[in-house]
Amino acid sequence: MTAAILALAVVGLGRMAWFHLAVEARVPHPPPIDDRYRALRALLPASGAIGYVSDRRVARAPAEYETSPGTRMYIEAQYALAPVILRVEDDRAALVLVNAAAPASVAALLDHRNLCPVADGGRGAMLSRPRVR
Amino acid sequence: MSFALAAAGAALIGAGLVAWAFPHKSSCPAEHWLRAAIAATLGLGIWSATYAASLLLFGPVARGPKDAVLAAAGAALLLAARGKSGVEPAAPPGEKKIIFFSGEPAPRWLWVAFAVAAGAAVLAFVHDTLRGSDGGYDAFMIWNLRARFLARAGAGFRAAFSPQMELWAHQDYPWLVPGLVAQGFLLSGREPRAVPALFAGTFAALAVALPALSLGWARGSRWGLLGAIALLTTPCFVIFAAHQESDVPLAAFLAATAALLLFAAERGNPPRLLLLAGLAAGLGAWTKNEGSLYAACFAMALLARSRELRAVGWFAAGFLPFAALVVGFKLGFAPPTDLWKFSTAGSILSHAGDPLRWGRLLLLTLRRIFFFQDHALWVAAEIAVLIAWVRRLPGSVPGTALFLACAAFAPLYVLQPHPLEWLYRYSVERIFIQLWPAAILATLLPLVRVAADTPREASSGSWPMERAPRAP
Repeated sequence: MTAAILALAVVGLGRMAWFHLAVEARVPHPPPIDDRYRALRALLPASGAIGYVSDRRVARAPAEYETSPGTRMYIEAQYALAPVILRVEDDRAALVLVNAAAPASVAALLDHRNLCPVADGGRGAMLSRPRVR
Repeated sequence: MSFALAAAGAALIGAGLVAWAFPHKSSCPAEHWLRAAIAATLGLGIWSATYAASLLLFGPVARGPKDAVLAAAGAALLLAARGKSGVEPAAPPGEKKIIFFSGEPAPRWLWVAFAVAAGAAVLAFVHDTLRGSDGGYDAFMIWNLRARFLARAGAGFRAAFSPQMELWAHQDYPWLVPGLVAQGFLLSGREPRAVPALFAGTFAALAVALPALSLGWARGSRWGLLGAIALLTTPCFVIFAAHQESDVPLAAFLAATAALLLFAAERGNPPRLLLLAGLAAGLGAWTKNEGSLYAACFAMALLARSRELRAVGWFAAGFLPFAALVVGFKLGFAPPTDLWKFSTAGSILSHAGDPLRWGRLLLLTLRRIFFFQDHALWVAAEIAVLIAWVRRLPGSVPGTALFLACAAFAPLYVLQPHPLEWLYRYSVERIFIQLWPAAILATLLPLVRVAADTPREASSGSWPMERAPRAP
């Protein structure tokens, strides 16, 4: 049995080496999540909720996950900006985070949602508020 | 000062409980280190669970006094245990004494193989931790997100469970690991990324140490090392650890439960050890929802194997405080779990009666057994060993509990409201890694007897085990 366990261990080690040395090396390091949101976090209240809109759909149910490319971006923003709560699709809150995967689409998002900019965090992240009609 | 008090609280309560439950001296170094590993596991878990209880009941101001109470309680238990230590008395005449042997020593080359496996695992852990500074997807989606809420929000900590967030934050999940990380953040006054990584590494080490030392104590260092090697070279184990997910801590609590039940069986199920086993299972329930299922499985297995309601009663008594914490949190603070939110009586009934759904689950499982990416060949080998040898041996409490848990997941997968393939893909490896350390212990212990390289003096392979006649 000792030989069988060690043989399985060699297979496992081989698989680990392949994954960590060959596969992972081809994928770039993910940047720290906080970098994107650091500037905006300083402008947010200490608690409470703000709105959240994006150019990518956020899944609201597990069945939508595979077809909602904006879910991860929402999760990362929530992680970075806690304990402020981000309310998805709420564009009438006093403050609204516009979080665009494509920075060029921020202007269109502001216009479409009837928002005006408050502070630009760069790279498609912008703090905004509803336009006064 | 607050750091020293917190460290004292966690260390003393773990050491005190173990000293209280094991009134006699360790019989060998493996048992000594196993007790230390159990003390560390329980100490960390209780330090977090009492933080949660004090926060929910009294708010953030109670954290310091909570640590003082833990340290005082641990010191009192240690003092009470002093003077009791000595050689364990012999069993009364006529009473069946269950004996473990610290049999087969490990050859030097096996220590080298262990060092290679451990070195590779440590390198992979450090590499992945440095590579993804925020941990894995679940870490920043659930566990470290919760820790940030708890550490940053002060008296507004209830925001961590707000239903205004999307369901991906899993606000209803128990929060043993976030409780540890949040306290680490509060003690350091900042949010160093080393804090969650440190807890993740510690629990990974404990998840390896608990089954390995149990095997080393019961079967000799050769088998302890083989158990450790099996876990360390399971490809997804290190990845789950480096990703700072709660599955590895839950695995450590399950392994501690199994080890304590092993100790208890060896000593005729004394109440204190069963209480401690229930406590470890309860900490698992406060780590992840699956922990409650595993605790129930352990209780049922204990009843089935021991036929002693009293034994189950002591186990349940240890579990009870954490069951109260889980129920109190779920009823008083957490939004409803998504399994209930998206389920209707109609959907449950239609899923239950859908043979295609059951068939798809079977196919997914068969494919996953040979899922080389995460398991290498360990799952296939485990199933082959169970079918070929272990099923013929007398059942054990941990083995029965793990079997019950695996059986329970089949209806859970079929009846739940989400797309089956999606949920299965994202959850089955987690369940595997939660169960795998305890499964290694439960498989290797009885298997030693039937192995080709069985030591000359071996146990019956049942659990509890009796000394087998010495080979001529």
